[in-house]
Amino acid sequence: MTNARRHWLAGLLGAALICGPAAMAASDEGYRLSQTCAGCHGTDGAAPGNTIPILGGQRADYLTAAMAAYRSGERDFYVMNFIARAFDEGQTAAIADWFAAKPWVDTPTASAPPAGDTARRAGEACAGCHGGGGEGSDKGPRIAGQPAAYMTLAMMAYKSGARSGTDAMEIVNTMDDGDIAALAAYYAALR
Amino acid sequence: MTIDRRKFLKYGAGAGALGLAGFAAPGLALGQIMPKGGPRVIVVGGGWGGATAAKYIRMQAPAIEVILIEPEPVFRSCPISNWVIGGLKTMDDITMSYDALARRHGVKVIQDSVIAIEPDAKRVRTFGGDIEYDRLVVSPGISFIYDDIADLEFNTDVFPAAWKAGAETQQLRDELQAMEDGGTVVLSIPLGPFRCPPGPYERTSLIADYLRRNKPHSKIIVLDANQKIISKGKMFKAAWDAFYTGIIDYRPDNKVIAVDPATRTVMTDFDEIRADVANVIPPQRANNLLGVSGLRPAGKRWAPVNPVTYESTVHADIHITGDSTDATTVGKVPKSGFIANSMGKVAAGAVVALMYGREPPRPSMANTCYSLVSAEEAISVTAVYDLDDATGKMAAIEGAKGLSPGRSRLTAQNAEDWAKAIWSDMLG
Repeated sequence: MTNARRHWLAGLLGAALICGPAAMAASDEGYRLSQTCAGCHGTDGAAPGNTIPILGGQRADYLTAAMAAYRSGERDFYVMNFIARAFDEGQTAAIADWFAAKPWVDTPTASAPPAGDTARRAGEACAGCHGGGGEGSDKGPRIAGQPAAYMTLAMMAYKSGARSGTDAMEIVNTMDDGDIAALAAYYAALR
Repeated sequence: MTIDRRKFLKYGAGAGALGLAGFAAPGLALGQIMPKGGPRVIVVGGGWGGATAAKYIRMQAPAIEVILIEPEPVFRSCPISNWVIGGLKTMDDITMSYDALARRHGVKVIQDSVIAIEPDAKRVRTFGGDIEYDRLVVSPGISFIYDDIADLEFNTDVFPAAWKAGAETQQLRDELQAMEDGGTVVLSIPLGPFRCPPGPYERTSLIADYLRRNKPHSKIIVLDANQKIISKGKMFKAAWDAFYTGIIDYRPDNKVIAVDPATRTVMTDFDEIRADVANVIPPQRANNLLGVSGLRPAGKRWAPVNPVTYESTVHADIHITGDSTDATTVGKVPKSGFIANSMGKVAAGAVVALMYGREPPRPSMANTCYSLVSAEEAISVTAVYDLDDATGKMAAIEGAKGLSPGRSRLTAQNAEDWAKAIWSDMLG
């Protein structure tokens, strides 16, 4: 036991001030570790920025797989490659479960969905894994309401090889930059 | 009130306990306000550590009353304030309301200044009166040390630091705009540790970029008391070599020892440099409020804390977060906004646990510091921290710490989105 931990134990000798209804379990492993994520991803994973993904309400299996890919380097992103290596598999799973249980808050950055046949294209290219409304399935994460810039960057990363390990995303190789931007804007605005 | 509160605090606190005893009389006359009806935490300072702690205590334990005491009517962000100086953002962009803390989280926000902390009576004294607490979180930021720079203390209007976002931030921007092409900007950097280690170098970059585009015959002389650039040095240097040759004149190991306001001259051991715009960032220590209350021990610059709870090792039931904390007691963490936000959460978890008679959670902290090196491109450093059981202090986790691969536009976009996220995490 460290000196630091002895210090608070001494403090516990005094009686608790509050004996009423319990507070949120701050010692919950998922909550404890997820709090630092909020510095970039917002409180409870409600990210307001355009290049940073929303985690709150995302599928836990996807979040766990994404962190594993950042840890292994299958996904190349300079910030997350470091952060993912701070947590082991058990800790990552606890963080993922914590965020999955939070409400999804749509991106505030979305603009009007693009016209034309983007909806048809989305149905053909994306819905099989991401669900008809972009709500996600066991084959792919929720993308409806995710920031457009983040989704554009993600698709470009799959195309360049900076993201790998997911065969289904090879479909982006059939898309040009305009297709990718249109699909990203479509799903960002989908509610 | 006719006395300017900031000056009152500054000179009152600077004068030490004797001066304060006399000045505290108005508070005494007003007596106790807001009588305590249940468990209560007072948070002093609505910056990165304090606002975060206030919100996270309320999120975890709605049964605890939280009073946030902050002298300013609005929050002004130090991170991104260099963007204002460089002309990329305005003060409005970095100014935010405390309303959501009250409306969404039930924090009682009081605009007032704390003039004394009384650990034995467990109360703080403000201009409005005395308020009792069960636990106190103090996150008051830094104060400047003027002792080693002759004639600076009462001439900061000529030599603004702009190291606390506010009027001086705008002043520095205005002075840069008013300066004629061919002018000289002097920026001086104190010996570390100081608030925001990469901040002076980001500011240098953005001022140089402004000069390059708008006043190309001008230059910026950087007088750094340190031996070298103390954060992200290679990447800053690479950007300066690429973009600002002939504009940035970087002089390490150049400590400012005096200023002359009549001629706007900055003096080092080696030179006297006449400036058209002079940005003198003084050495720093924990806020003077902590000195008066003994939370920063005499002869020390920073306030010692327990790294698990952020409780002061001087006085019980008082937690200290943010730039004021002594890194030799916390562990090797930078004095950054992100770290203050992390500390606010760790302190909040500890405060709630201790008030419920539970074991405080093990601390987990993170930091990503983004710095613009030009109007378009940024660099960054990232680390995640855990308690090192061998030392009992926080340490960066092996493998989970490092720099951005270089400068990029994407990192600049990430910087802006990070700011939005962490502002919402503190205040939203």
